[in-house]
Amino acid sequence: MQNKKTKIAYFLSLAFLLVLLVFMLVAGFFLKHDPYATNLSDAFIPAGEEGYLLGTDQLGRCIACRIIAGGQQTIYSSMIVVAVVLAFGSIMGMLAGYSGGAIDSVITKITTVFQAFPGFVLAVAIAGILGPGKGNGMIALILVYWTTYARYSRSLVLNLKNNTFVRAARMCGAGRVSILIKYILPNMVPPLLVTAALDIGNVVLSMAGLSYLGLGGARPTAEWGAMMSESRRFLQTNPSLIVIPGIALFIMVFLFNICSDCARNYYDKRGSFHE
Amino acid sequence: MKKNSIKKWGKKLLSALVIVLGVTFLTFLLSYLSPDDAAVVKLSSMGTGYTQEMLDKTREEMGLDRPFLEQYLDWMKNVIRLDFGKSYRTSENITDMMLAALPNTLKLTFLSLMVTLIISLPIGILCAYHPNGWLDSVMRLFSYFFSSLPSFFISLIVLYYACIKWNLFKVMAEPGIRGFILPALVTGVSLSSWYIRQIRAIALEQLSSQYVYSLYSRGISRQRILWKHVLKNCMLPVITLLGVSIGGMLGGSAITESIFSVKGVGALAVSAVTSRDYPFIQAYAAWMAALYLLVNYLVDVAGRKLDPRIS
Repeated sequence: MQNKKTKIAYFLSLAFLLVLLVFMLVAGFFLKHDPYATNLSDAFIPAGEEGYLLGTDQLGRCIACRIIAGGQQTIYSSMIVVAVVLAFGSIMGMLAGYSGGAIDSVITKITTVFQAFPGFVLAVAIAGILGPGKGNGMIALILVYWTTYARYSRSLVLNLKNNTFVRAARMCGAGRVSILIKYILPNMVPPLLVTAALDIGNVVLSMAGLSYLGLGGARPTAEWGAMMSESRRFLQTNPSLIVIPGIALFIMVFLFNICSDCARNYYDKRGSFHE
Repeated sequence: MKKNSIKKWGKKLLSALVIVLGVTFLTFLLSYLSPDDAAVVKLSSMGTGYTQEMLDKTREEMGLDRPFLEQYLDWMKNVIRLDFGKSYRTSENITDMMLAALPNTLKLTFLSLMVTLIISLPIGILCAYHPNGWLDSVMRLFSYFFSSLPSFFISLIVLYYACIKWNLFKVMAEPGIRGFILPALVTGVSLSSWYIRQIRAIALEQLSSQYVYSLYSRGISRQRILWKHVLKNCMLPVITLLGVSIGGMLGGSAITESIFSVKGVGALAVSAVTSRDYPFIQAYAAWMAALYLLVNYLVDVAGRKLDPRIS
């Protein structure tokens, strides 16, 4: 019974998430208005009037179109960040865990140095020094998030290294590298992937935080955080300018979080070793 | 025994020093690698355009064309004397700016943690006591909800309702404790959602251990077991959690402080970032890292004092 509920929850949440993602990506090609075209005479139109689905902002840009354009960018950059962090961090962790000795020591020291900084502080410092821009924001987040995967994959490797089947493989004469690839790696992938999925939500929030501060995707890009900080002045008069990107952020992160949580519950039951 | 523990403390201190060294190295490396270096920022802040010649000359004057290690050692020499240089934005002594602003950030962090603990300890324990009950499910929903909201969104909405619509507080933070209530509440409540889940897990583990069973069989009331014994035993893991979240708060305070106009280190960092004030950003990173390391060290010590079984 428990399994059936988890299955339903997982596929339902996955379906919602996929619908959102596909919508964002496809709708980007059917935008009614240019997300960056300013038109001061059309500023501050309330939602629903004059063909603007969600109204316009202080410079006359269509909010709905900006949300979709920003959503596309957010999805792309977060996925890239998580992919890079997953790959790079896991490789470092594998190196450290599998080699042991001096290499392990050095890599662990490096990860500790990076982890000595509170996450957001490091991101702000890196992005602040590199300057605004989407690429710099991504670099900053990559440098912040990689340590989690390095640590996690290192501990996974250490756990798996002493398993019976690995020792059996050694006895049969398998080379160290092939053991790593054929036996250890496939067992590391599921938990790492689940962590990565959970982190996508966090990365999206961090990107929004960075762009709120003017780093990462700064104005005039349609990044949701930047949209919110631009509209701060209008908190009293037009709060919808802030609320709409906020809700968009919430929906996206919420769906990602629920989906990856359900995925974790679902795959946990079926966790099995490849032998 | 005593000599052994001195050796261990010494080793720990040494590795902490190495890490602090690594941290300062990293922060200095950051600004060294930045595309717009100090000379560019200085010249462009003067308003008029500049030529490549002027740029080279300024670089030479500021010592920016020396090899990396030389610049780093030079910076470190000053850092050891706690001199972080002058801010590009306000030309004040950075150390003074930091020392003036740090107490506010610490006050905010402390208040937020108090709020978090007051809310999440009782609720977390109750959730563990009635697992999958209505309170538990509601809290699970809350936790999902809050962890998906960006912190600045919550802050802005609270600012809107509390200050503008309902006029409970002024938009500009008032001096004294009053100005800290809102940001502490916002930070505290949103952190509570995560804490409640964590404390629930901790309390669940406690509730299934032997001593609870034996206390109950001796006739101690459920209430007493829960609020006297289990609570005490939860404190140790909770303190470790506190150590972890202080780091997050030191960093996240940047946004909250700037929204609620709290004159803390985070707000200064935000202005430094918008005005490309490199020396300040460097100092901010170094200070926050040092603070975080100190806090983790204190948490370790506290943990060892509370539970002598940890070595």
